[in-house]
Amino acid sequence: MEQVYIWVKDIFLVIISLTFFQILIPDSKMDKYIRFIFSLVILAIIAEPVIVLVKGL
Amino acid sequence: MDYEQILKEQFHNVTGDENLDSLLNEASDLTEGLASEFSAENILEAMSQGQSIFNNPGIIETFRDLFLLEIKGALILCVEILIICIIIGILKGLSTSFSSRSVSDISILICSMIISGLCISSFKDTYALAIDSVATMVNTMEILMPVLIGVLIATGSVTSGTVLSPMIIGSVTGIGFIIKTFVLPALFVSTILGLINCLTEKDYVNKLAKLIRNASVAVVGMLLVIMTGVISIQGLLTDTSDGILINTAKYSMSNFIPIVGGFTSDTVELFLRCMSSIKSVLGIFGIIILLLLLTVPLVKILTTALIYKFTGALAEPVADSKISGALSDMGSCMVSIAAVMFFTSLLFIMFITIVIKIGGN
Repeated sequence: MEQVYIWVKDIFLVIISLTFFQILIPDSKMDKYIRFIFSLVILAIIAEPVIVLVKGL
Repeated sequence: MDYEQILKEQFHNVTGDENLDSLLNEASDLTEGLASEFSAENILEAMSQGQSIFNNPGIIETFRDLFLLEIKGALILCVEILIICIIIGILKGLSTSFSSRSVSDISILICSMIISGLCISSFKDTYALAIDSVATMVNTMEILMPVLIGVLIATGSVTSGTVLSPMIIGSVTGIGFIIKTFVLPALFVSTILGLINCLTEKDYVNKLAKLIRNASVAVVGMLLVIMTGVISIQGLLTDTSDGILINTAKYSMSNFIPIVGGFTSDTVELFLRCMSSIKSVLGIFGIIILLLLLTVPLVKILTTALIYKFTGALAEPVADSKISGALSDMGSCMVSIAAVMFFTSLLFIMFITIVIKIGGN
């Protein structure tokens, strides 16, 4: 259960900090790509336990 | 000596008084003193005199007071959340007058974070209440079941007692463990993910939160079906074999023992009847305790859920749809927790009912 709590905490922190970054970055043409990269990071964090589980098998 | 006295005496002989008293004390702590009105002696007396056990008008008043108290407590939270929602609405209106959009965005984000902080701190109380009540239910079953199984064996259902005792006690402990360590924490995690989701513009973890919530409720439902299925089928089977045993004993006693055989067999029959009425009293005592342990926290949790849904509905015109959606999601999460508790106590009540039903012949 401890690992699950750590996982949820990670998701929380990453989403909060990325939301702050998204607001703070200046408007530019790269805006869309940065948002896409951020969502990739969130995907990686959410999928992390699955990757660990598969590695352990 | 009349039969009431005999019944009472035997009842005290068969059941350990200190066990039931400690059970009653623990239950009445959690149910605002409601449980103390349903002590096993009162039920026994009501049964032997043919009275109703629910003839106390104080029960409804206690529930009404509890409901109003909870509404009052939750309304404070509702007002706090609504004030922050109104601030968000004002900030949105003012956003054009700030120099850049990001200033108002950040302030709205911080307001949403305060709302989720408030929600989490109130949700923690609900969560602790649910864990406590499930633990007390498991404790009740663990104290009551050995006594009940002992009485069951004394009614002549030896096979049922020996087969069902490890099954029921094992599954009660197992279910308590699964619900306390997996299901309720999973619901907690799902609620937190739902709250995180209200902070961001895009949906990042909405589906994940819903998946975890539905999975945990489904696990409890499956446990309920499997456990009751296995134990009730087993109970039916052993009940039949016990019936054969008792009937053979009675028949052989009345036919093969000359002269006094008939009387002896009738006495045995009377003894078994007496035991089975003691078993019913004990079982009903257990069911009432379990029901009270379920109802009082359920009133609290469902009231809070109602207030969350209400706040979500009120917040919709002023704040954005994300926050009102998250608030009504919180309400749904609380309803899920209530459903898990309901399933648990339903399962335990079914166990007790199966034991009462066995050996009724």
